Amino acid sequence: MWKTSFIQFFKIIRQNKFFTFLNLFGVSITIMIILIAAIKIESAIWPGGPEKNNENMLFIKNILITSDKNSRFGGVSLPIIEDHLIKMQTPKAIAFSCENPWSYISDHGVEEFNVKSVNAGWWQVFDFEFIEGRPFNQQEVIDASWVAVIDARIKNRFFQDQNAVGQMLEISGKMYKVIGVIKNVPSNCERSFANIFVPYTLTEAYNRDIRQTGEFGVTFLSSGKNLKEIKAETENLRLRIIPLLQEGYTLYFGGPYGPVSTYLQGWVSPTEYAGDRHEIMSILGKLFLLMLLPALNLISIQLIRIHERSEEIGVRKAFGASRGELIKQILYENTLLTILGAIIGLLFTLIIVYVFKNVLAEMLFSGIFENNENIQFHINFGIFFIGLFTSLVLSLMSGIIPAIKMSRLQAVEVLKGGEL
Amino acid sequence: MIHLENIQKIYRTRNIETIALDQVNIGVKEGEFVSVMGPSGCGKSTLLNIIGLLDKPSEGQVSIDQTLINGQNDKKLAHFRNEKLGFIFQRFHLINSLNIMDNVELPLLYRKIGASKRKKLAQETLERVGLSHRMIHFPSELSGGQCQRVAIARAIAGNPQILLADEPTGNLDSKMGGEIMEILHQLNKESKMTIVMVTHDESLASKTNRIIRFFDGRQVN
Repeated sequence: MWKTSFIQFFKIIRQNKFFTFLNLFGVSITIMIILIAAIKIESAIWPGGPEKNNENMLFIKNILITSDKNSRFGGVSLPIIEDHLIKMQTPKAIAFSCENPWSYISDHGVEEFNVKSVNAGWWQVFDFEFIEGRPFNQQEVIDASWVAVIDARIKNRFFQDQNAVGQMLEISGKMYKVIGVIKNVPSNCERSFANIFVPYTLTEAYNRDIRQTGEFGVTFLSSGKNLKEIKAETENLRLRIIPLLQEGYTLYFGGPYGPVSTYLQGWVSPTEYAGDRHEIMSILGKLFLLMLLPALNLISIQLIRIHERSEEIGVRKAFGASRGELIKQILYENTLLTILGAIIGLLFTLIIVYVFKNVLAEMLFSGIFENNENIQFHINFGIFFIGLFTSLVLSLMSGIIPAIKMSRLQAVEVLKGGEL
Repeated sequence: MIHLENIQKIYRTRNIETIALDQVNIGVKEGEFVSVMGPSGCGKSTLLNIIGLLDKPSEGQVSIDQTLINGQNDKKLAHFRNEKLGFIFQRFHLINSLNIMDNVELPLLYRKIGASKRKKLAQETLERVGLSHRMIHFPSELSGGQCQRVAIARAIAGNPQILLADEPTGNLDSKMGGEIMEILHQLNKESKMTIVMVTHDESLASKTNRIIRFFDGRQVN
């Protein structure tokens, strides 16, 4: 019976090309959206590259300084970092950075590059691959040496085939000595990405007022086992800093969170520091809305498709199909169609991920700093099966009501051939 | 073979009550070829649906092949239809997405028969109606007469004891209609099939064993 239904299913879908197309299109697009959304989220949370060990990292992206009178939200300020965070005992290493775009004007027009001002701990926390030279050390940072580590893109742009190390590079009117060249950082590595790295001490314009927010993001590297201890030490530190703010000000850290929570921070209002539960509910709500449209579409297509087959159902009933058999047949066909749609969706996603990788990277991580060649996208088959399961549930839900309705249909009504 | 006793069928809507069949008593013997005639709306279709177990009477008893049908559940009725009854419709009602062979196989799908035996039976039945050369064609590729012959093949593929034909020549010209009637008479004589045929055509009805006439939901002869 199942084998025959399987063969008949293909005959039926071949004949009802339009509805088959609509149905397959709906399911495959839904699966593609889910998979690409998963790719986007995963590539942002676990970007690989220098952040491949980010499960051992904790991040503070921003801080909130608030009182009855006003509220300030922004990056971590240098006084909090230099006087407090950097002295913490539990992290294995601490990195902090501040981003500055650099517009280079030449005969070719304006070229945009990204410069990060970082501390020496930066090179311990993130795992950069050096092609030439070395990173700058603690002494060079303390001395505010005019040194820079550049990526392969900058090397190719300004020094072509020559050795870049030892050469001078003029950035925004200042001369820097190149001491190292790293492999290009994929542009989805939001925290570690830059074209040029210089010591943060070279800039003096940072905010020095502890009651103001600052310009930096902070990353702690843990030993892998002491994430809780780092969080606890940060909390103690926060409580010790609050009295220093005076005038009724209080301080909140946007962290230290692991990669997942850091990503989730962007989904909710950045000024709110609600618990994970609130954040997850917010994401689920948005995902539900995202799924609702294709789901409604699928349901309406199923209704039309089944209604179109009422004559066939009447004939089957007249020739011995029971209600149960008709319901089973319709649901079986819906299931096969959904699985087929999901496979097509998966194939299209595979093609996009492996053949049009650069186009996808541009869509997902578009920006002026494009280093897309090293991005590695992976299809999450767990998510694929969740998507398939969701589509199956939707398909069954959308199929079962019309199937029951049609199975109850009076065969005589649909088969009435003229008046008797 | 078919026994209807005091059959009444009433259709009720919120405000209106329509009596489609009233006090109908009909017996059809095994191997009989019976025509049912009457003006439009007189209850012929309701009668055929009740005999075909596609509709239930409001009152009265239906027995087919000495089995009382009243009170049987959907599954048993479906099984009974599959084993004992074959339907031929005025508009053929072939499934357009399936080829001729698959259409003829349809009643056999609901029996425990292997695929190869099913194919063999369907092929033999198509040979009986002279269409074995059209097995892989689709209904849209056939003429009206050929479609009705496929519909007959489908109706008899499961070797039912009773054939219920609803104006089987209604959509055909007289030549094709004649061919179809010839096949039905042949089935009645050679295979001893009991046939109940609804028709408007007096000349076709006159060639059957008996005519049952209806008027306004009542049997008039």
